[in-house]
Amino acid sequence: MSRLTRRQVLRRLGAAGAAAALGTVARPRGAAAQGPAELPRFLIVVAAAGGASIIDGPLAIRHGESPNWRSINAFPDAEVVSIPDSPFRAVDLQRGNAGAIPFPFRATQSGFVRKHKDDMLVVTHTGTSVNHSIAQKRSLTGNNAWNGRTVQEAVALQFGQGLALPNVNMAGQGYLEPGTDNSLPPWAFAEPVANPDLWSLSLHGSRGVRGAPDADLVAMARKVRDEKLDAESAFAEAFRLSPALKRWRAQREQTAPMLEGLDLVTRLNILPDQPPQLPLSDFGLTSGPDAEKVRAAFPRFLQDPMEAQAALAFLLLKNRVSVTVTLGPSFNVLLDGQRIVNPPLAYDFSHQAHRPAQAIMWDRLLGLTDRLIDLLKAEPLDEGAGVSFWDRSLLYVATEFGRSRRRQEGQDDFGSGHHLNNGSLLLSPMLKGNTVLGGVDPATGLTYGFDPQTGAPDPGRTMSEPHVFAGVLQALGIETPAGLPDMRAMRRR
Amino acid sequence: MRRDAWMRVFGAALLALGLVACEEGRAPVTADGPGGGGGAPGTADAATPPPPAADAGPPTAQRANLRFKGGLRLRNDFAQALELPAAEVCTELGRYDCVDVVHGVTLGGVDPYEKGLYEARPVTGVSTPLAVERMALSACGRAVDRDLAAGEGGVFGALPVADGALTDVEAEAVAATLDGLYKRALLRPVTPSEVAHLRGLYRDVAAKGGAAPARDWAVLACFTTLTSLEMVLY
Repeated sequence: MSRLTRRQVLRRLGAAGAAAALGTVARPRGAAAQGPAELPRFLIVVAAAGGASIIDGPLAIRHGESPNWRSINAFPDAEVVSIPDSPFRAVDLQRGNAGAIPFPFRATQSGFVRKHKDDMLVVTHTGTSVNHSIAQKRSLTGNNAWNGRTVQEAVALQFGQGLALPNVNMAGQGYLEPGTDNSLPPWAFAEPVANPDLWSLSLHGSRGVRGAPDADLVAMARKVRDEKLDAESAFAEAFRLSPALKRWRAQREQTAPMLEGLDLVTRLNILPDQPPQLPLSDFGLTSGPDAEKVRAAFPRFLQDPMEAQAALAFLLLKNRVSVTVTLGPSFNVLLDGQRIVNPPLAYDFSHQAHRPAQAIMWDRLLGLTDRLIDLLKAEPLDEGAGVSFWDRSLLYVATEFGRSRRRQEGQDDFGSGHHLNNGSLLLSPMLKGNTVLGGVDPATGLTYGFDPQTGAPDPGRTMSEPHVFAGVLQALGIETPAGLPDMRAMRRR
Repeated sequence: MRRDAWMRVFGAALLALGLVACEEGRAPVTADGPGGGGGAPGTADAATPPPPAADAGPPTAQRANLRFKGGLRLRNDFAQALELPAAEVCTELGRYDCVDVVHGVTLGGVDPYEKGLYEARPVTGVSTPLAVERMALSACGRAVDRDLAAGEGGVFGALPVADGALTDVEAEAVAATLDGLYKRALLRPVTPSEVAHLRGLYRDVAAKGGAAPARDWAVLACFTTLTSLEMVLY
């Protein structure tokens, strides 16, 4: 049976049935050599909101390499570090101010690249929109490459059936929008999380509510409500065909007990018992068993929501609650004294101050990513087989677009606009690491494509959103529709 | 009987037959009302109208376009029903407002400034029912404690309580309290069946041997009402 035919059959079986069937019949390209089939794979999406320019990171250009260095975005030679035995560059720099923000900063990438180069893959591409929200969403749907489903939804469908919260999304704007493939079961869509530090409280109906009767009494009341009062309610009877009512009942009577039974209100709680701001024990709550570990890794989690996101992301994966998590910075400014943690508009502060915005944001995202990877590497997924969570994870730094390359007369302080041409950074042991697919023309600063099968650079070619979309899913062992390219060059095996 | 009256009765009879014949025993309600109209003109005199179907129950709404009320509406409804200031309906850890700070997006709200989330999600999230339960338990606990301490007034002040227990669960004051709660929250009287179920809940709660079964039951009766389908969807 061809893939297309099977997909059509699965679609007719209905979304839920398809989900179950996919779990047993789908055989991804290259899956045979990718380890224990029963272990799930995990997708972490780090939303580089605002336009993360790939030539301000791993594909940076030195002045000495470009005949047009005065008019394009290139760096003083000393600020671009070559990484031994690697095609990647790293930008290490410091400045006395970030545009109009009069605070000095120092940003480094070389430590991250040296440490993680073997899991790093850069894929060049050219997008289709310079509108933030649209481009954000397209970076996740591959510009509607597969019926409008996002990469996270595809991963949730493949590996998340039966989990409490297969797909959790803590990012914003277009990165938080659900896909448009209505054939997917409801559980494959993302659960949005706005406050990662306090969110675990929403995973129990009564724990930590002051004055709430004992849990067994609450359970009795729920039973009366669900089986008698609502069961006999004229309202429920009249509106029994309502999708919202059916969904509510399923969530209330099936999913909610699962969430409570897993004690996620505790296991995902990253907060310390710290009265008066966080009086957990006064409310019968306790920190999760891994809370101290994640607080050590992300010590500014109370000040920086993205650190809290990363902490929660780890716990969601580690506790096998989710198979895909998405995190991303806010567009709000975040300062720690005179340290710029998050510039206003995140990467998009490049409009005002390109170089500082890119440098600070790359430093920020790589730093968080580094700590998250370390936690996942230290966490066994299958101890007997020596497989860690990181061994089965793929981290996709999704971004909406690149930035315009032009600058005036070699100025260091310049602004940039949105530009379709760019590239994406991905990390995973399942990817072909220490590799740049495609390349960058030092004369223009524009990237060019590659052969999807061999990975050979091809200056006459540009890759697009579906290439990245397909490559991410295929590396995770997910069979993609026949219309999508086989991105063999992105996979390690 | 006048012709138009007969036609109405006949129409109702046809509707009743339709209800019985309907696959699941309920005829859809259309925009024109149950059955879509008033019977079959010209045939009303041809048959003797059968008696209306006994206890047919409510008709089924075909366009059952229910929506989740969302955190803000629920907070306001809880506050109004229980005579609480909106700010006292629910806080987490005694400090952080459940709707404004902690569970806003979970409760179907937006977060334009931090998340760029400008439109509410079209469907409820996995943890939404639990967040609603937390709000209800918090609000109910406050209202019950306030009213029982006052010993009169409010929503629960008329309950006959002595030594932490209801003196008589069959007392009229119990039914009257539940009726008042339903009228405040659901804008309709409580039914005898609902009173019976909630009295049964009290017996179960009391059988657990807690120190304050009346208080626990009042909170839970309030909780079942505020988290009922009729309350959270509209």
